[in-house]
Amino acid sequence: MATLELSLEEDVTAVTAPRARRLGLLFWMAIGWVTFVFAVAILSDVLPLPSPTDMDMLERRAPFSFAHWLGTDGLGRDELSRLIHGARISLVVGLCAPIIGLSIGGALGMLAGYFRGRFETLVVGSMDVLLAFPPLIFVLAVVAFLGQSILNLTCIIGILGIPAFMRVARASTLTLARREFVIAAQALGATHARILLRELLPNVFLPLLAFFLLGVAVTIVVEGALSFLGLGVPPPISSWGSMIGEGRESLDVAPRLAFLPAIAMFLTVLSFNLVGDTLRALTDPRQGAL
Amino acid sequence: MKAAIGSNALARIFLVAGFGVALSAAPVSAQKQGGSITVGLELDIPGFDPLKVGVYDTSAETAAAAIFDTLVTLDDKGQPVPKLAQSWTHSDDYKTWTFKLRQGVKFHDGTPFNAEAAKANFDRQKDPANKCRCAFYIAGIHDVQAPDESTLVYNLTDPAVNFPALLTIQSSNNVIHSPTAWKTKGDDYNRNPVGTGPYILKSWTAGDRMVLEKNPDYWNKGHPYLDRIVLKPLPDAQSRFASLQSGEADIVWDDEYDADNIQKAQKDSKMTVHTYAGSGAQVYAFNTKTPPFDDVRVRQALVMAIDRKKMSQAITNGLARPASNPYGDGSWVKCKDDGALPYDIEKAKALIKDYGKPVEFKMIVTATPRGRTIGQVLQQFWKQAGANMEIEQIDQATVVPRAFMRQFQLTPWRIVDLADPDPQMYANFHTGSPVALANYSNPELDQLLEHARTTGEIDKRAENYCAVSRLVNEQAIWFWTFQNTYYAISTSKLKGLPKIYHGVIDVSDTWLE
Repeated sequence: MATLELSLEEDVTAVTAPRARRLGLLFWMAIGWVTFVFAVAILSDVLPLPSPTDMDMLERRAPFSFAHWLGTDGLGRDELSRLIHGARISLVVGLCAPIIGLSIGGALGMLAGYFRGRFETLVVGSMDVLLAFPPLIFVLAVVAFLGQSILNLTCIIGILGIPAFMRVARASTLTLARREFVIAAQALGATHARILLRELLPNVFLPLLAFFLLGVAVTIVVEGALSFLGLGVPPPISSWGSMIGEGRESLDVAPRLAFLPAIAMFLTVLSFNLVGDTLRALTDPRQGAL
Repeated sequence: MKAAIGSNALARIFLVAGFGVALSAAPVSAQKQGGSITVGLELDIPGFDPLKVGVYDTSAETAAAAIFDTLVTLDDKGQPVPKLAQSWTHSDDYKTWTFKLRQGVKFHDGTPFNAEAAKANFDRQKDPANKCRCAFYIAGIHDVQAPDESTLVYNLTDPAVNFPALLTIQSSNNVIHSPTAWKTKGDDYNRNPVGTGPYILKSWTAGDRMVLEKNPDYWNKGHPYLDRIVLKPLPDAQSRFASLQSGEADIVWDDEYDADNIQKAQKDSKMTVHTYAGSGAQVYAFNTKTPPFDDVRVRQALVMAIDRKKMSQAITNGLARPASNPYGDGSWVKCKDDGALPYDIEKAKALIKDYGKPVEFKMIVTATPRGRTIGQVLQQFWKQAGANMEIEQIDQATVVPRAFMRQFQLTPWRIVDLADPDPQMYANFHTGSPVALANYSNPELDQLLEHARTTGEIDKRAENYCAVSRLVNEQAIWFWTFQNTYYAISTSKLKGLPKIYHGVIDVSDTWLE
């Protein structure tokens, strides 16, 4: 996870460095917030925080204090610690699930866009089937059947993301496959594998990466919604969605219990969206077209 | 024995006389006719045909209490009083009960209510060909006979001293349906119920509302008072309370896990909190055939690690009443010594250490906010004792089949408020019963349970049940957290709500001031 995140950051800075003036303050604030969330999530075990699951049952919904910086939740657990551990879940699911979509969907999309023919019909058809299936019902069924765990959750959301990545990859490949450098490579007798990996992949990768960041934002929201419904990570592990769900029970007594995780999720999703949008604008094929 | 029969007979005469007085007194008091109320229930009602739905939950029972009648009902003191049956007698061995039925009562569709109709209801549920899930609860009744229009005879397989009181809950077994209606409507009957009750089903939109209109020909003249009752499923506690505050609902179902709102309503002069401390308890069963619960030390340790007072404080603001036996303060079974294991975390740690192996298991909880909270609190207690519990959330409807198939290590269960402990205690702990969830068999326990159901003397029965409690507590095959307390919150204008017996909010005889 950490290595991926690091390479991401590098990509981001590498791509954006020459155009830094156009990116604006908002973009850097978004990057700053994402980095901060990543840092505390990774370091949560090292930080001097109380356990996120230990209850102090007589200290319920305690206000902000020195012992509990953000107070305690409805069962007397430290709110700050739960927020930080919740960030872990959101980020793990939020990054891993789109990676599944990115790798499978991206590969399928490139193959379909390059080879065309029956294979393309088959892939596009089956993706349409997957898209037509109501996602929440699908998730409900799978969770009921396989049980609740972070792994199951990640896989389901990842699979549901495949069609979108496939479409982005296929669309990019379709336009690129007729470009001169591909035809030139074919004329030079390059194999299909070489054309796909050396000629097409580097060009398809950038729009996919921008879409990936948007996917992260969407996934965090989906995970939150599922946890809110009680279908996310099993308790007592905290996630932002389940914290909002639990906080809702005492909305008029201690509204902060629902609002703190909601704000954390809002900022994170907004940041990923901002970064993703900026990257998408930079890699938009229309701008770079000849 | 004789003394008991004598007092019973006396009570009967007194009760019938009392009912007569109540009837004549009714029109004099200040009940107001007319108006309409909206009731906020916890769950959507799946239907009323016992063959289709098996058993009713308390939401369906609220509707059933308005559409149907039972033979017997409970008065304010919890004593059985006549409803569709006017009087009853029993044989000396309490195995045959004869009911004299009210005459001139008609179902909403015009079919006359008589002994034959009541017998048809029973036979339909008992018939093995119908495979009714409700049949389990009438397994103790061998057959029902209708020797004439107004006489109904129940022949029981085992003695039941308190039998009429058991017929009072508005369950799928006890409410009387119109035989013509289920025969002519077939599959549609489930959503088009026909009874003799004070209200007639007018319209029903699944998941939204059920509208009941006053039955103008109700046999109990002067009743009901309201013209219309609207029942709405509002599963979320917050939105239920919000609709009461906004005046959208006039009375809502509630439970102690919604303690903030209950306490808020108690301080609000515009609202009335109705509460009933029933018998029974919220209980949990260990599957004693699976490790680590095959070892009594582990079971005892887990029970001793639960600090019920703290738990009540944490999840219900202290409203939930800790339980030390399965009967509770609302039951006539009072024990000097129920053998409850004390809260003792050090002893619990020692027992688990003594067991030697790591204690790891899964506990079933319902996939509701309530279930998750209880699960997490218990998990915390057991973690302190050195045991590792994993929460398995499953759908509320799946808990029962999983329990019957014994696919669990630790499952939640409920001993509901009934007038007599026998049906549930016998089913829960007697060897071979499908609900004996612990898979535990003990001849001494069986003997106590059998003796308790065949004795007429109330003191001896209570003593037996206390011995059962001591045995179960000591073996820790089940444990109890909190006694049953039922709640409803209404506007202060709503009057005449009876006690929430069995957890059923019966609004059929209420009025608006």
